[in-house]
Amino acid sequence: MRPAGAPVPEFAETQEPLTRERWNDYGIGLLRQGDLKGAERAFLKVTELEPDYADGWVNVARARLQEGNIDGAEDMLKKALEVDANLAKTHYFYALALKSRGKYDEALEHLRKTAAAYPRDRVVRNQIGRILFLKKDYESAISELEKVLKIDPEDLQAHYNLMLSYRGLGDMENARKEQTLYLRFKADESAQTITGEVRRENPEANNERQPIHEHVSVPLPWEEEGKTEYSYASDNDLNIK
Amino acid sequence: MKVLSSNFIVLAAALVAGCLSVLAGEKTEKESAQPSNDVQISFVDITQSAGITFEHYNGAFGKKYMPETMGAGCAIFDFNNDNHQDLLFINGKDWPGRDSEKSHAPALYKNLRNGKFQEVTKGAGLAREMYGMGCGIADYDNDGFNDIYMLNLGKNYLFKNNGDGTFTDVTDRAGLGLEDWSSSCAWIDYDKDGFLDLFVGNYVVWSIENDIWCTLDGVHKSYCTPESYQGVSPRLYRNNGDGTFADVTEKAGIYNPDAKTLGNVVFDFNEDGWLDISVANDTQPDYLYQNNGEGAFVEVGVMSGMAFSEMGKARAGMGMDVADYENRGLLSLIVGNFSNEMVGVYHNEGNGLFTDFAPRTNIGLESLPYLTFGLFFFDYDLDGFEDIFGANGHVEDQIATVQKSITYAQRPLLFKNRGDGTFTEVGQRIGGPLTQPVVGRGAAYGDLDNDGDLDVVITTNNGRPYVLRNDGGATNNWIRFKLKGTKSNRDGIGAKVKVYVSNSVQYKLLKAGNSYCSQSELVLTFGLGEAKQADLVEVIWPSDHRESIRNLKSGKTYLLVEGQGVQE
Repeated sequence: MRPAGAPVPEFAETQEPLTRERWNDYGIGLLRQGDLKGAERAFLKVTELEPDYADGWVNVARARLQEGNIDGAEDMLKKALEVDANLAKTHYFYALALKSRGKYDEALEHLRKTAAAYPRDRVVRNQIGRILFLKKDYESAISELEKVLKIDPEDLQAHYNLMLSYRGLGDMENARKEQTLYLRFKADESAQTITGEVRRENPEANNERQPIHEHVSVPLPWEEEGKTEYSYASDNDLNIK
Repeated sequence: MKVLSSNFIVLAAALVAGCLSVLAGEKTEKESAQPSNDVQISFVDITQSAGITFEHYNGAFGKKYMPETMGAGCAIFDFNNDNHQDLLFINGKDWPGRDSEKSHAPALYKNLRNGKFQEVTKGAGLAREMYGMGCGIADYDNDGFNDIYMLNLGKNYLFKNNGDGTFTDVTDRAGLGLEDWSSSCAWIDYDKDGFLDLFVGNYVVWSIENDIWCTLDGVHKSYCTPESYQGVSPRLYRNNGDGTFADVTEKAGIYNPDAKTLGNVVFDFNEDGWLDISVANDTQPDYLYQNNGEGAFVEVGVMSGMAFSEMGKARAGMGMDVADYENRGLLSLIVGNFSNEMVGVYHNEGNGLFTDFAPRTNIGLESLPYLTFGLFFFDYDLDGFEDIFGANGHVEDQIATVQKSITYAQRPLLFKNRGDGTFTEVGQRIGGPLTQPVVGRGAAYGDLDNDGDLDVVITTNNGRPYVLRNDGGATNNWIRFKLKGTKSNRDGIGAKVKVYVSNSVQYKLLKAGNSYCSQSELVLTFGLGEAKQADLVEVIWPSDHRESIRNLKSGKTYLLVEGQGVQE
């Protein structure tokens, strides 16, 4: 794993699609690792290598959205739309940017375009439902969120926002029902408490728990202290000329 | 001034109910909701010139013990009743076996009324080392002098104000020597018996022995987040009225050992006349304890919509506060959260539901990179609309090595209320100390120089506080109220005060315990904009006694005495 903050390596720069793909994959890795700046640089390289690849622009926007740089994200999303006006993921992330600004109507327009392309995408439908709730259009929110539950009856976010939407309507019976379901499927935040003692007593397990960590080889019982399981023969040992 | 008849009280209630236009003529609520002017205001760092030399000490020596990064708070209060606000700073101390030569006690500073403060800790009897987190101020024994409750890692302390500039430790007699890791507290007369009860928020079960090794970079130890530590239930202590308190936590329905509380605030969210308690928890759902009026509470946070993020997930709640930021008669809630989590703005819909308005108010996006501890509403420009101040700072000094967009020291945020339900961050424009990154923790407000506008104190972790004088806020008109309960608690904590000007109404509740680990002054300040007077002031005391006063001129601090109206 690349240590956090280390410079992005210089891959051989060719115009082959494989190079663009490698940069893109690398960016996704960094994004998942939480290195938003590194991910942004990698994805910008993708846009440089292949400006007509709309996903590159969208991915820069994803990194910037996570960082809270909404202006910068929107710039990238506009470029993505210029390249491909129909890419559903562009509309989805554009909607998130608009939503974070409280521009709910515009966000809904983009989300509906995404939903038209992927009608069974519950992430998109959840966002539509949430925005309708925020607009206090509780009945429409319920209708949208019920669609999510037809895709995944255990969708946590849908149950949560259904609870709130029914609460908004004053339908306490259904609100309580959704609350029960939400609490049933929700992770128990206090459950991690039981890891405390295990983490203290088992440093190696605690090490695995850290977001960035190194694995230290543990000598096997029959090995001398400080030596590892493996030894490497020299060329001479193997009679390699 | 004249105490009004009960008929007028009915009329005032009608005004609250939304019948504003009946009395106010043609002007609409929306028109009245525009700030009167955009005055030029600066916040000047007067810490040094005021003679405040206190520096917070967290005892850190490389072990990265979790409590080191969490403290500490402060209080702005008038301990000697000279009508000038004094300052209290909470301090940490050395870890066992690490005794440094210097003492690290809390620090009490007396306001000398000339822009300077004098430290009087030792003479006041407060020079006692403790691993402090926060404090709460109230006159728990109704003797006319504000007492101090100090919240610590380890034993908490109640210091009774003797009225002669000294304090006496009455912790054991009062039965308030809780020995958990406490953070914030709130004074609340939840049963309306005229004596202030005490709600105490606690964090996690931590000791040097059960410390967990955490790392951000895979090599060096970092401060842990609290997930793997057992939470500690909040506590509710009922004031027996004789200097002692009874622990009614379980009986009152407060007990919850999953709580990891860092902030709390008292308000009547459903306006049923009984004070409720909101609690901010770190990596746990936030709580809303609804007072049932029969000596107990029911936790309704999940159903009310204030417990979680929009994804239905718990966030890292820190400081919190409430205010009627839209001047519509309902108190909405704000909660400080971790970096990459928006400050929660929970808009009170008036039907038991809170809707997260963080994006809609512009607060969410602006607050996203910041880890907000201290957080409160106040009207810094006295335009009649509640603004918001946030003290920020990360918990981990090495955070920038793994998250390049996040810094350890962070500048404060000042959100100006635009009067239309949205806010604009103006700290960057105002400049000065509002652009300076600090490792902010506690934050409180009060009028330190008696000029009518509200000054700010920020505490920092293992560093000096920042005492920021508001210059220019009082360009607009203002009116201030100190309360004196007779049947209610002496401070009038929990009283609702409504000020009517032209066709608008402002509503504030006197709180003892908000923000993070801190206490702001027990005086209510209303901005009047260009108005020269408050047309009507209505007070609903904690005892439920209501009274109204007409035509109070701006530019004064009035003493409102329960049942007796205004005393000059």
